[in-house]
Amino acid sequence: MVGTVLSLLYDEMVRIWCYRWTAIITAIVLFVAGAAYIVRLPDNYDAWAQIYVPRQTSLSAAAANVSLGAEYGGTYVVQKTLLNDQNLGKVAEQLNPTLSRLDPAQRQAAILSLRNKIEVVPDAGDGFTEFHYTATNPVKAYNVVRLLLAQFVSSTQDRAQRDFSQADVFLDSQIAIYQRKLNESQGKIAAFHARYGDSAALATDTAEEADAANDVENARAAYTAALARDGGSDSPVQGQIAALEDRIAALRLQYTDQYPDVIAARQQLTQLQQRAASQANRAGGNSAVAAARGQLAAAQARLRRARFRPSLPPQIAAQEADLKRTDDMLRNAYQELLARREAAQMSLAVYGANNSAKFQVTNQPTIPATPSGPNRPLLLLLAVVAAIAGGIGAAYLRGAITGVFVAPRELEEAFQLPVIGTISWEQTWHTGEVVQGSRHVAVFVTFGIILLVATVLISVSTSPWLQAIFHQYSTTLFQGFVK
Amino acid sequence: MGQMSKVPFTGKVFPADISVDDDTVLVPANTVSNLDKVEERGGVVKRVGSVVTPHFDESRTREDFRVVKRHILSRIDNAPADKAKDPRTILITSASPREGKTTVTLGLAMSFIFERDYSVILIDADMRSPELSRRMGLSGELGLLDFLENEEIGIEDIVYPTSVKGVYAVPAGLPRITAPELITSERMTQLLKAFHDGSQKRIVIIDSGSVLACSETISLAGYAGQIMFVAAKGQTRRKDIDEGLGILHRQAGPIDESRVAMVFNKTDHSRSPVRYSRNS
Repeated sequence: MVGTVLSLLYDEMVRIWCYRWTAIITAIVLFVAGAAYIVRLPDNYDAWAQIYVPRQTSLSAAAANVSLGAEYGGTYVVQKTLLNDQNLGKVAEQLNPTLSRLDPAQRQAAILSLRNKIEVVPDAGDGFTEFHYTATNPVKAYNVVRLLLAQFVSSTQDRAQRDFSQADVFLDSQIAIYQRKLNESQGKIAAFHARYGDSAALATDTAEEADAANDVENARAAYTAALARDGGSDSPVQGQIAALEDRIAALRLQYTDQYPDVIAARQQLTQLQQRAASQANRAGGNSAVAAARGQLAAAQARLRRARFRPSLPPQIAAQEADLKRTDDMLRNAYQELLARREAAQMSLAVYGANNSAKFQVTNQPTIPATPSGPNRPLLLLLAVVAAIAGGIGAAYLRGAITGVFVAPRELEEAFQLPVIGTISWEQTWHTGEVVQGSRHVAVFVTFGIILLVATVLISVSTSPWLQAIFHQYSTTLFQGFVK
Repeated sequence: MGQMSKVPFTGKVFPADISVDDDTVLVPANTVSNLDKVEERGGVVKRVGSVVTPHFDESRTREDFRVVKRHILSRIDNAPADKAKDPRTILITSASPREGKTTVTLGLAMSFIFERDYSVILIDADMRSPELSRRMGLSGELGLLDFLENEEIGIEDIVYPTSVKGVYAVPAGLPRITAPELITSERMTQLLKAFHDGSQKRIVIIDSGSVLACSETISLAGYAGQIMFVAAKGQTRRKDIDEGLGILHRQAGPIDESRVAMVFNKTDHSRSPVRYSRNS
């Protein structure tokens, strides 16, 4: 398979070789025409300016964590803001004052051609952007870049001012909204408390409750001690009363007073207390014990008071929690907005109060002194390659059109007749009429001419001194040819 | 052709044939070449044509021609007996000039050097440019056209021995504007018949002009049992071959594989199917 392909390829090469003279002549003609054109190309001058736009701005500080799309000050943004129709229209009008009198289509065409010739190049560094304009007239190139830069400076100042005031307005409006929401939330909470009691006061009960419990413990200890001093042993009733009270307290943490266990425990407690009172009465009126008991009773009453909960229904309690949560959230957002406005004010202070120090022109455009192009040696090299390719193409085309045979197989396939032999033919096998030597001379001379022309053209195009001379000559020489 | 009976020669061209008529000893044609004796006719030593072969890679080109020769001989051997056209008459032609007809003719003649049994008569029938006559050094000698026009000239007057044994040459003769008509005359038929009579091993190779340039070639193709169509590599155009074959087909009988073969000429060594080293 590969062998067949190679063989076909070889056949095509042989076919081209049959028309090598066509190839050589075509290549020479193409190269001479191409070289003449390349040498006649006018010089190009490249004017450029470079600007530096810092990425961090008051707006970006204000909008931290908020996506702004393209990076502010990036090449893309510069390109889009700089090369809009309005800016380019202004530049084009300044370059050509008659443009405003032309019809819109022509004006649009002028703007389009200007846009196509302006090149915006991002620098490797952060925030640097270059823009180039190439023209055959160095002064024109300079003017375009200068006007563009002026346009950019003014439009960017406007934009920065607008951006900052936008940021300010945005933040202020947000702060106002949050403030209003926060006020509403506070109002709601106040209304809730007016209706269901001051939950803020209730909130301190836990401390008072612990305090009261402590008092009860102390009073009980004193009472027990008084009983001991009195000589009477502490009846088990007192211990039962204490245990029961603890249990009721534990139950009340989970259940209301209507819960059956609580009711039962309370009844039991009442019975126990009555029994304890009768026991105490029986024990006699020891004043110290009585005083201690009175203190204990008072402490227990205080603890009961402290343990009292307004029995709110669950949905109202949930409502209260909801109100509190909303309030907290609003308060946080409000605080954050205030902090952001502060940051924006800070960055404004850092980057200049008048917003003009947002970018810097790091390279002012100048009138280019030396041409930047075209790259004639490279173009000539390409012309050589193209000429050779064109020559080969011409030879191939001629071979394909004429239809010569380069392999016995082709002959056999074409006429369906047997090819009974191939006779090899050497260069030395000549019959006398053709002077073979003259061909070699012709080849030698032709290639010599090509090399000579190529060398002259390349040296002319690389050496400015020779170029100046040659340009003078070629201008007169090719005047009619090019026009 | 009313004068057919007046034709002076009777097909008995060579001494051996004459001896047959006189009922003398019959000499087998293939043991001694009768044509050898033409040079002594009438006691006048005739000019000897030389088969000038060009310089080439001897062994390779010899092999190339050997292959062609083998094909030709095998076609002769395998031809049916009742074939209308004698396969021993071989026409060498091409579509356009300068494709190597004469070179192929001479090369084939050279390759018969070693053929002990066969003798070859080369006829230069390219009336526009008698290249074969020129190359063999027989320009200006009495030749085919003289014979065809002048009935007083005998076959032995136009057959010349050459530097190669067993190879004889018939030059073109003085150019005439009546050449196409002379070629189609009865005398031409009789000439070819005379060449083949008496020996099975005598091959006539006609070097003709190109089909598209010379009308004689088409007439000659009518006599030929084999037609070698020479095509040069990278030179002959497809449409020319098409046209040439078309003309032959229409005017000189059917062109088919049994009668027409192609020879691919001017190839380079690397692509030749025959591969021998230069020094073999």
